Amino acid sequence: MMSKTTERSRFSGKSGSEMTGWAWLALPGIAFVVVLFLVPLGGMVLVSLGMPDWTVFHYARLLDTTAYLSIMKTTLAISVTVTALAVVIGYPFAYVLTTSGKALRTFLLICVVLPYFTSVLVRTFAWLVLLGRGGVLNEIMLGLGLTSMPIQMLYNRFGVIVGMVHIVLPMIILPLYTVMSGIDGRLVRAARACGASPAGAFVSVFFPLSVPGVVAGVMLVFIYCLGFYITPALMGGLSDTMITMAISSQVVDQLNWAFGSALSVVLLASVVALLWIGSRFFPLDRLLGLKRGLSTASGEGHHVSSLWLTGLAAAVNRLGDTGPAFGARLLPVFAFVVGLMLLAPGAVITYLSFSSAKYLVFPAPGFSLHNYQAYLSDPTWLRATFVSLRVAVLAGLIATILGTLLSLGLMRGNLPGRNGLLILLLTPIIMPTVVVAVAIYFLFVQFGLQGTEIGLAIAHAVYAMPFVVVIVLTSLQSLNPSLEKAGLSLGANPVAAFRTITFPLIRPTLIVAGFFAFLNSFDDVVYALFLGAGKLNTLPMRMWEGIKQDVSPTISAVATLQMLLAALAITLGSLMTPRAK
Amino acid sequence: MTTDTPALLGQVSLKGVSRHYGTFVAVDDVSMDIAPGEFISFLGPSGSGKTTTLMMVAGFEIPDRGAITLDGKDITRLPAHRRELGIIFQNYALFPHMTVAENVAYPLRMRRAGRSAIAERVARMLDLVQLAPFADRYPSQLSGGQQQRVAIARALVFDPPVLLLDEPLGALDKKLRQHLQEEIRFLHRRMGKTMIYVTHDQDEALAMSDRIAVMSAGRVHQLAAPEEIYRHPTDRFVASFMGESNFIRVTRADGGFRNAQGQPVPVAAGADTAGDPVVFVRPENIRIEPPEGAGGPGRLDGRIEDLTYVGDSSMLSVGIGSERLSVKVLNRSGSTAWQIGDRCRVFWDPDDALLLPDG
Repeated sequence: MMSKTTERSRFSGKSGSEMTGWAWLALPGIAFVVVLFLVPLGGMVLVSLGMPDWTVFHYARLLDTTAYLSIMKTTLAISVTVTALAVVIGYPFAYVLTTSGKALRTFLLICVVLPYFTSVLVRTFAWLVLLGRGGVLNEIMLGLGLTSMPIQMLYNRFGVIVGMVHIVLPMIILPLYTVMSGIDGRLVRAARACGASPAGAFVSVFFPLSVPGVVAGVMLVFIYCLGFYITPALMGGLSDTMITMAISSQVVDQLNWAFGSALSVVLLASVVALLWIGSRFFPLDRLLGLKRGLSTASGEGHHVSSLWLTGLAAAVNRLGDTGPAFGARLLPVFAFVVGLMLLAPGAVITYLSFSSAKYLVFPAPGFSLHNYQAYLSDPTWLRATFVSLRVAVLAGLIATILGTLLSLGLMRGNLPGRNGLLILLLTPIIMPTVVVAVAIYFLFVQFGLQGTEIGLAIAHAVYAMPFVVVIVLTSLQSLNPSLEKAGLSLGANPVAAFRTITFPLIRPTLIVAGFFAFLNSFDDVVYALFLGAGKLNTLPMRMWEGIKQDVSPTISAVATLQMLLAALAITLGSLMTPRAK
Repeated sequence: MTTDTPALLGQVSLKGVSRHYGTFVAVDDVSMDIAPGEFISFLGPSGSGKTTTLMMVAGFEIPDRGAITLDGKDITRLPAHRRELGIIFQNYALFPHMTVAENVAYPLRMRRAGRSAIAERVARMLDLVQLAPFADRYPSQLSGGQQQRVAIARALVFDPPVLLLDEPLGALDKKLRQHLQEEIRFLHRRMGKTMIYVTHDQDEALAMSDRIAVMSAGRVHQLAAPEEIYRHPTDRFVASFMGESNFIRVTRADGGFRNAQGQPVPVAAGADTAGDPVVFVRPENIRIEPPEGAGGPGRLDGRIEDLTYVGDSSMLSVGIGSERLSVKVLNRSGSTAWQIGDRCRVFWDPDDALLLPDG
């Protein structure tokens, strides 16, 4: 009896329902999320209710003031528009990505991944340079005689939407691509063999099977848009104020924490509601980045009712082949152009960073390294860089260590209710950063942690740890469990077996995860904006200030270096992660 | 043999069909005529071009050269969905988001059949494959064998004259394979459709086909009935791909053939090939007896070097000089119990040996 239980717990995992010793490893990570994520968010709800003098005044004010109602309408309008555009552009792009030949696919993948890992601030800066009155696009149009006067493309709805669509496109393309590449190509052939034309097969078979990807992508993008701060704040006009900007102005400028909290709670509640709705169509752990959930049971997914789609396909079949076939031939061209547009902002910034001009003018009159020299000789830029490096290294370490322990604990600890726990632990990924930053700020103020490097690093770790968990869990799940058992059978004790077998195998993953956690922290503006409390000048903060003041050309050099870092991260990631089968 | 349709439709011809991918020749000048109602297998190792050939018949690949006709009509460039061919794919390719009934109804809906006609034909088809109680299930809720029957029903519901099967039994265990082979053969007898069956499994091809096209490197090596392929392979590839075989290098000497030791090797007058040929003989056709035995014409003396027991029979490896011959003996009660190291004598009927070109 005794030996039976030890046997079970030693070989950890599936059998038995009792917790194993591994469960303890999850404790620090869980505590971290509870103390620095759940408690602050709960505290924020209390603040919004006027604690200790309870009141619903702030919510009432929210509903009474037309200004705030219109802000919420604007937020909704922008988010819906951006999400819709992202689907319309992203779906055909992902389709081509899935079905095209190797050369085009590689190019398109680079077009998606490179911007995806470039910081939002850098990409927004690039759009400012592209769309400004004297910007690249206006110069080109003037040069071609397409317009006689510069067109106003910034600080209005157009600018906000262009910038936001560019930033969210990779977020919708990647889940679409994942789902589409999981669709068995033989299904489409089978439809054709059953008499469906290429367009008919697409409508009745491929499209319905790709719907989970659409749902996941739309959810991610829409939620991200609701909590989007940087791009609308930098590119929008007065009439484009979104809820995040109102929160920031209440908390930072007006010091009206209670009302800022009420606004944050509204945003928070909307996101939670959306996640709840989304979870009915798509498992949340997969939405948050995991390929496989922790539970072994593979739930029957919702199938899109295909009857009317089959009817539509039958109608499409009658159209003949010319129209749809013509469209199919245009698709790769469309994807190629979108790919170029995804790359363009980064490419233009890189090009302009080597310009010899004193200002960001297009085209560059000549080439020099003076922007890089300016960066390296300016003590404020350098100081900001070192602050960022220190914070990011610290944040990366905290996130990687806690995240790894947490993954091991979740994987092998047999914790009760671990699926729900996992989803809870991953939510910081999708919660609007502004809301979380404000909540943590309220907490930190009570301990004097605001404006400190360690405080900022801890907050960054809250955001980065779930990414580490996603990466490490995926790697642990793909590990052959018999390897460690083989170690045990050869005389290693459980600790030695882990140290000599499992750890070396997941070490590359840990390095990648740590680097991504570092990069997350290194690129962050929002947390620094709130938690820096005006005292902490990180590199992105220095850029943010620079952009708001005068769009200094030095920023182009810094931005280029950051993109280089992102490219490095991608290369590292693809070199270190074992080839997926 | 009863058939639902008069066995007139379903004549498929390939004329000099080739398919290249860059410099790689996937299918090289393949020609054949497939009779209506015939069951023909494309057999070969992976990369032999069998699936590519099938996909050209199906319309998913277009030949670089050559023509494919169906009942005299050129279909070389006809889009796949207009060919009216039933196809059963590897792993069946059932639509996971449609029920069994919706899967089977799909071809009819694409042809815009009337609602009642669809219901009636789907019901009849599901009855035929004994899946009527499962009409509203999703494919993932069915066993492998049931899934295959759905695939068959879907491929046949629009009454195509030809059924193409792309290694449909590829991923199944042995027992289920045999069961499903029987079902497919039963279906073939009953429906009288032309069937083109791709497989890499010799036993499967031998058991099911009217004729087999043995393919390698994009070419058809031999196209003939199973027994002919097994007993009279036209070249060394076909001989070695179909079951176990022995090849003995021989040289011509005074009207007969001799092995490396200079002993005569019996073979009935076979193919007259240029150069030095090989003598091919199946392990089960070699008879073996103790060294003092009477033997037959052209006996060879050797020694048992290895022995593999496989239940109903044993495979002996007999060393003769530098060559080894595989000999299959049936394990009947009372038959000689051979041991490794025993000396022995082997011989065979010259009619069971065949002269093949070496290469």
